[in-house]
Amino acid sequence: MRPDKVVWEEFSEFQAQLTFSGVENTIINSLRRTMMNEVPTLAIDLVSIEINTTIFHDEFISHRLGLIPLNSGKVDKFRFNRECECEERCEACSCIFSLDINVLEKEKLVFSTDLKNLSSEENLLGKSVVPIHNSGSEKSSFSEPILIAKLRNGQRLKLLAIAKKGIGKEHSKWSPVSIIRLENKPFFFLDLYKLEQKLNKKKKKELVEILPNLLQLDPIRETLSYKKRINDKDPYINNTSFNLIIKWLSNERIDSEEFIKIYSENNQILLKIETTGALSNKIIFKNSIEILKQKLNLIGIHLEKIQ
Amino acid sequence: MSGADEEFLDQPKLETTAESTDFSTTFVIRDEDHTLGNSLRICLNNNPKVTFCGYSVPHPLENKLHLHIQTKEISASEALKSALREVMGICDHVGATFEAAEDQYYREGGTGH
Repeated sequence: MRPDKVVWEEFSEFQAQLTFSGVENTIINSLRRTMMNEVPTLAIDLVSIEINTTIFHDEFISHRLGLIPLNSGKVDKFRFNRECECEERCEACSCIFSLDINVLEKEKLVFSTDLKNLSSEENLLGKSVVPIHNSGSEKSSFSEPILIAKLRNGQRLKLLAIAKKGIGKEHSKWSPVSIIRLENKPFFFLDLYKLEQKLNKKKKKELVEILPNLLQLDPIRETLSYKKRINDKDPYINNTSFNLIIKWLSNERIDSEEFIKIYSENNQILLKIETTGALSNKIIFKNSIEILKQKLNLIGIHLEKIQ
Repeated sequence: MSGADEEFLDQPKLETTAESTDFSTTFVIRDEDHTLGNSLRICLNNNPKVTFCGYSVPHPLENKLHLHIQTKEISASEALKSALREVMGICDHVGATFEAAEDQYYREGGTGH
């Protein structure tokens, strides 16, 4: 039941993938649920609006402010507001932002960059909490900070926003993941014998040129075969080759479903994590293990008590 | 604080129902859901001394978990304790395997985010 191998791959700053081999998917599902619901982050929780002459009502703007991801790298040093010794709020349990917009031009877009962190200069903890302005991938050309509202000439918006620590179970704005997927690892096989019968010699040469490491062409008998066979069985195709084959087959107008078979082995489990930017993927994974252990520990302690 | 509030805070995290015996117990755990229930159930079912194990969430609006264990030769609480230890062990192992892989990745010159 203990995993023999864990493989971590990072595709970008926000996406990562874990591959487990040799463990049941129930435990991984528990980790997935913990990552989504129980890893604490910071998010705006209390908004006091002084002036709002925009077309959006107060709750609308407060809801949008709550969903903005805030950099929660130092969230462990914050306390939960309900457990703090202060009366209402203090620097140890919350972080305060302000937004003050007075529109003099024709139209103004209010972005997350307009939120000002009101923590004092010495409060490094509070100063570290900044909104994640750009949650897009590096490849996308469109990278702007998060849009909060659009205002017109003469409209005003003035408010104070207080960010607190919380978990996803209470409200999903505190969840550090945007999408998390659990699936069995798929293995791709190509039915070469069947495919050959549909291709002439020129097409076979083209196919071998696309996949030089995988296939070879017998010049005399003009048949395709795999370069390496594992235990006298056809080898499975990796992701990049698979994409090339699909592309080539669609260009040739051949139905790929007839020749490509997808199997999944129970043994290998893929966990794909996409973060909102509040915490990095590694931190989310490590924290979720700690939190799961703490929950088990708590039950153990109470079990001792009732005996 | 009113009397009702105090009663609410005193409610235990873990208790057994009235019909429970040593070898057949239903544990009622507060503030837990399928996250723990399913993992514990799997580990308990792998234990050869446990004859029956099942969990349920009686009502989705109430944050309670019922875990029913029937055993032979050992008491149900012993079975639960060993299952808790086993799941903790798996979590430790996952964390350690991950850190070892991470160290090796950086030692071999990988650059990460």
